Amino acid sequence: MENSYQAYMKLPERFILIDDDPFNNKLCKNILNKIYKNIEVIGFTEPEKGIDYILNEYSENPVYTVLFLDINMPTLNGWQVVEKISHMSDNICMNIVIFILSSSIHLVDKTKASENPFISGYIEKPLNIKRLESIFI
Amino acid sequence: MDKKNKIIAVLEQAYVSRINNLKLSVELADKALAESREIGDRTLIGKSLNHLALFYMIMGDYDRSMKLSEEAIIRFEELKDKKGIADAKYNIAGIYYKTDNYHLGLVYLMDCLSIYKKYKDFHNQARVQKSLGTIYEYYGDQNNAIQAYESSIENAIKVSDLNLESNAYNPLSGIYLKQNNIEKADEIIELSVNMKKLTGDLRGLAFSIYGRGKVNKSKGLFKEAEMDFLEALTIHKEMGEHLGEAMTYNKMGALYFENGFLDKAKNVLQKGLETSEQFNILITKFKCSYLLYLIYKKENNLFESLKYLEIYLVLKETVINTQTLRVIENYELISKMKWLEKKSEIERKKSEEQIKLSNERYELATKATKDIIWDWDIVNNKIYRSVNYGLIFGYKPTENNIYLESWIKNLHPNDRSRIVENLNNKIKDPNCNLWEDEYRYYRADGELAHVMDRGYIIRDTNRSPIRMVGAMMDISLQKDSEKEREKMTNDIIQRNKDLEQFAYIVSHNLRSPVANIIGFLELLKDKNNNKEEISEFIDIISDSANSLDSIVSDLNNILQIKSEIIETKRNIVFTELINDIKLSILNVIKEENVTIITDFMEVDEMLSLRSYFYSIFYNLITNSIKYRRPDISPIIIIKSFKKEDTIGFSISDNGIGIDLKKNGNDIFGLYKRFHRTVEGKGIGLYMTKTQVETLGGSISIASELNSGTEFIIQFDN
Repeated sequence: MENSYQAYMKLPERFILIDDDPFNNKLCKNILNKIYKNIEVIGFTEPEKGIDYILNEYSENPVYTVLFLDINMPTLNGWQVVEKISHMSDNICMNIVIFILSSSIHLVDKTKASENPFISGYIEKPLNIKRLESIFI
Repeated sequence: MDKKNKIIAVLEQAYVSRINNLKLSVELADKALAESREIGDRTLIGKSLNHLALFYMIMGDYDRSMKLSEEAIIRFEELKDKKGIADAKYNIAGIYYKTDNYHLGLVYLMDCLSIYKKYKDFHNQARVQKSLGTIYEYYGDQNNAIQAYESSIENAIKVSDLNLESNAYNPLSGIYLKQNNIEKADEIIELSVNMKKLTGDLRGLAFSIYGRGKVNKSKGLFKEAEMDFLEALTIHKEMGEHLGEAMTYNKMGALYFENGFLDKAKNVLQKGLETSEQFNILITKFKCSYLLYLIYKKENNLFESLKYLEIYLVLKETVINTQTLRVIENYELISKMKWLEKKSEIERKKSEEQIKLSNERYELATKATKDIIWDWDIVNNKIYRSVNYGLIFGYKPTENNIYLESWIKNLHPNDRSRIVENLNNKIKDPNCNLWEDEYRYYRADGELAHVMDRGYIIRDTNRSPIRMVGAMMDISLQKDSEKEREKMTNDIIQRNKDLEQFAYIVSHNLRSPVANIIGFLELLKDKNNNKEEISEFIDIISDSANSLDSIVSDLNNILQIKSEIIETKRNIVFTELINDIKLSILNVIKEENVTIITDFMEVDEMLSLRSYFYSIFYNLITNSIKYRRPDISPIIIIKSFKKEDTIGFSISDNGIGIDLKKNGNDIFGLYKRFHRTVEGKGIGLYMTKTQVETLGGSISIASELNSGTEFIIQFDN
């Protein structure tokens, strides 16, 4: 049911985490660093800053990236962040694969994610190795 | 007005005084008459004349009484006052009766009786019937007399007048005595004596005691009879009741004669004759004369016995022979009148019966239905409504509700013009026969009813409306249950939405720390972790567990608000409430230099749940302080206001404000937060909103980024 992502995708050069919960970002970093050596992981607790980073870094030197994005955040929620990125240049859009990483197990959120063409998958928190292995080669 | 009331009061006093102070009565009535003439009030002049005439009649000054009564009749005829005329005629009847003009007395009495009957004046009917009884008795018509006395008693009981009631007992007892029914006579006269004692009617008491004397005499109780007669005599003399005095002398004479005390008998009979002569009382004069004749005859005093026999015979002729002939004529006339009266009565009853029959089916139908059947006579603008109108809406039939205006008046003002216009259009349209409408209608107690009303328009040959018959149905209950159902459905829908929302938020927010705990516990399993890492992970797990706990307790708080209210309502004084809140956050207020300005001029008190209001204001005030602008000291203004049917509060600040365009929909949402810079869980405004709504109010926000926020809370008054 929840496998709405495209099966077995290439491992990205960089992971970006956007979540207002620093613990989650820490957890993700820890896991990602543990299983994927030499991969960059950048975390943001404020979505605005994450967007700024993407705009600045990717306009000229886009890197194939996976974005783990939380939904429920105070100033900008995950959907709004997706919306913003989707309006960025093709250069950027093509290079960023968005996964929702949320504590919500609600069907509404999963459906919403699967219907959004800019979202590649939905991962229930907490992130774990098994889940990562089911996505990336 | 004052003067009139004074005169009426004087007359009332005079009437009451007649029982034991006739002189005072005359004095007072004289005064009332003079004052009435002075202010030229014809009604009062007539009344005063009647009163005065009555008092003179009782005193035996018949000439003066007659003149006064005649003048009273003239006055009342000018005024077309039938009752006044009847009062005057009653006086005149009394004069005729007391001066032995029984036939004329009878005519006058019958006259006023019919007037009093028409006016349902039971008090005066009782008086007249008593007098009628006396006259019948005089004619020897004992059956009619008993009937008259009994009617009198009946009417006296109707107006609970003990005096009048006992007045009739006296002669009734006398008749039973004549019929040799001593037991019944005794029983009745005892009743009369007791009643007279109770009411303090001395004059009446004397007559009752006299009556008892007669009963005792018949029973052969000489001593008791003598004592009664002596007592009656004393009172009669005191009261100036000459007829009573003469009657008592006569009966005493008879008592003494029967028991062989001839001298004593002669003595009292002489006194009786003197009194009779002096006041021209024929009946006692000839009765006393007859007894004296018998006594002298027994003593073989031929001369004296002849003298009294002659007097007796002459008087008898005058009183009986000449008058009786005329009386018999009148009597026949009266009988004929009575017969006619009875016949018309039967006719009337017959036609009433017919109408009753024809109405019966209609009435039954009216009773069987819960509808109010109405019948509107459009030509005369009168409405008849079935009993249900009173039963359902509480309007008494006597209330002014026979015109259409009474219906229009009770329509709800917002429906009124629409309904009346619709009705008018239907009536005016010659081809329309049916009208139908649904509207709100005021009950007598001021409550609103919902009504379904239908009417059929009846038209004459020109198709003009002449009458409308219809049925009004109280559909308040249906309406109420409809509304109730609608409200319940809405409540359930809203509750469902709330629950959905709640479940969503709970899944989202509860799972967040849970996910962290699971995630880090998983990490802990890795044996390669160094010591620092392990301790860090444990700290995180512990923090997450704490935040999980705090979310659970938040949820518990929210659920408590949403569940039933147990606290009782009490009077909240808002000035005090805000002071209490200020005290509890005094430290913050000092630290941040907060100014709180309150204005509760329009509403300072309200009956509600204090803890809720405390929490609402507490949350809004601390919110304002929390989201202050870093560069200026917070100023919070709290005001109450009262509009048409709402009471409200405004809480405004000069804080950082919020971009409502961006966040408007979410502002009161659970776990919604809009500022990163400030610590917050996103639960305060959600709680506030829940509390306001639980109290039946609403909360709204107006804000602009960097220029402050205003919250408006409103309650239906």
